[in-house]
Amino acid sequence: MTRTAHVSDAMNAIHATNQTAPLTGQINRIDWEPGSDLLRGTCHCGARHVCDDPIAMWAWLLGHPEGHRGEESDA
Amino acid sequence: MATPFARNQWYVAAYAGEVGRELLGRTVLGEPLVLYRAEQDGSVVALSDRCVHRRFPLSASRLDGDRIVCGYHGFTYDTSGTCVYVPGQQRIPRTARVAAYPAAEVDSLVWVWIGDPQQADEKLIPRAPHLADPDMVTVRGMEPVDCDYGLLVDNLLDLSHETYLHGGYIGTPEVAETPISTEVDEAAGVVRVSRHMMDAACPPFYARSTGIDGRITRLQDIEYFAPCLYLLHSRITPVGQTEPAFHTEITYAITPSAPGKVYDFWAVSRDFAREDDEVTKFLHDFNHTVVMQDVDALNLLQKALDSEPAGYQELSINIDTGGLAARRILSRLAAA
Repeated sequence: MTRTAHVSDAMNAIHATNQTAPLTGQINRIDWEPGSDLLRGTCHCGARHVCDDPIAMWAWLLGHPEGHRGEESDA
Repeated sequence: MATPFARNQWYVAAYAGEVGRELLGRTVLGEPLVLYRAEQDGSVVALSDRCVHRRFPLSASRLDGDRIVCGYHGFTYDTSGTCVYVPGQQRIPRTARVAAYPAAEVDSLVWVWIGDPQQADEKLIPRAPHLADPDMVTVRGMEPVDCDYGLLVDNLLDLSHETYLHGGYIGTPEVAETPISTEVDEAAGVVRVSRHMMDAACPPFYARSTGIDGRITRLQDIEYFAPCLYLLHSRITPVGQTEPAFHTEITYAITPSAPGKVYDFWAVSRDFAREDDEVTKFLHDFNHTVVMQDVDALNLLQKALDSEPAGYQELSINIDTGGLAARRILSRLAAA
C-alpha cells in the first residue's frame, strides 16, 4: 500500500465521523504528494493526472471527460 | 476583483442569543435588516430596516408587542412587514410594506435568505450541530471586516498562513510545511481541505488549553459549505498516542455585508476541560486575538488591493488548491 493510500484511509475514517452533509458522490480530489511539489488529481470518473500547478489541475478535473480516457485510472 | 454575491443562499445574520426583544440591525448582501424575536411564538423576524415613508432605520425604532413602530413618524409594521398604521389618516397606502425575509434558527445561528423567497428551503441550511451540543463548550464572537468576503474565504481555506500571521498563537512551522489534500463536491458546493501533521510543535492555543507540553499529532480537516459556513475539525493528541484526544470544532460564518464588507462570525467549541472557566476565558480571549490578527491583515490587504490598477495579477501555488476551488464555486453560485 502506498503512503497516499494510508493518508487516504485515515482521511476517510475522519470524514466518516466528521461529515455534516451528504455528498453527491461526484468528488474531485487533489493530493499534494508528500516530499514533493507534485499534485495528484483524481477525477470522479477515476482518471488520474499529475502536475505541479493547482490552476492547471482544476482545469483538467473540470474538463471531464476531455483528456481523461488516456490517463491512469483506478476505475 | 470583487467576489460576486450569491443571493439565493442562506447566510448567518446573527447568533440566536443576539436576537431578542431589542431591535438588531445587520446588513446582509447590501440589504439592511432589522431582526427581533416575536413575543407570540419566539420565532425570529427579519424585515427590511428602512421605513417605507422616509427610509428611517427601523432598528433605531421600538417594538409594540410584535409590531415595529418607526421611531420617526410612527409607521407601524407587523411581523410580515405589512404596514398596519400610518399617522393621522385612515387609509394605509397599498405600497406601505417592507420586505420580510425568510429566517431560520438552526444550531444556535440565525440564518436569513435574501434572494427569491420561493427558493428558501430550510433543508438547504448547512449544519454545525456542535454549536448547540450540550457536551461541547463554545466561545464565540463576531468581527466586521472591511474587505471583500472572498478574501476571508481565501484566508480560511489556506491555513498555511497560521505559521506566519499567527505564529506564537496557533501557528507552528509544520502548518506551512505539511502538504494538503483537497476534495471538492462541485454539485454540493462543498470544499474539504485536510492537513495532517503527525509530529508537530504544540502552539500556545492548544498547549495552554489542553496541558500538553510536548509535541503533538495535529489533524486539521476543513469543510467549507459555500458560501457561508466553514468548519475546521481539529484533533490533537500527544505524538505517538491515540489518547487523550482533544477535539476542537472551529466554526466561521462568512456573511457578506456589503461590497467590501463582511461579517466574520467565529466560534470555538471543545469537548475537554468543559468545567474549567479559565480555559473557557483563555480560548475566548486568545481566539479573539487571532481573529483580530486576521481582521487587521485583511483590512490592510483590501486597502492595498484597492490601490492596484484593475486586472492585477496573482500567483497561486499548491497551498491555494482549496481556495481556488472555493472561488470557482462562489462564482457559479452567484451566476445561478
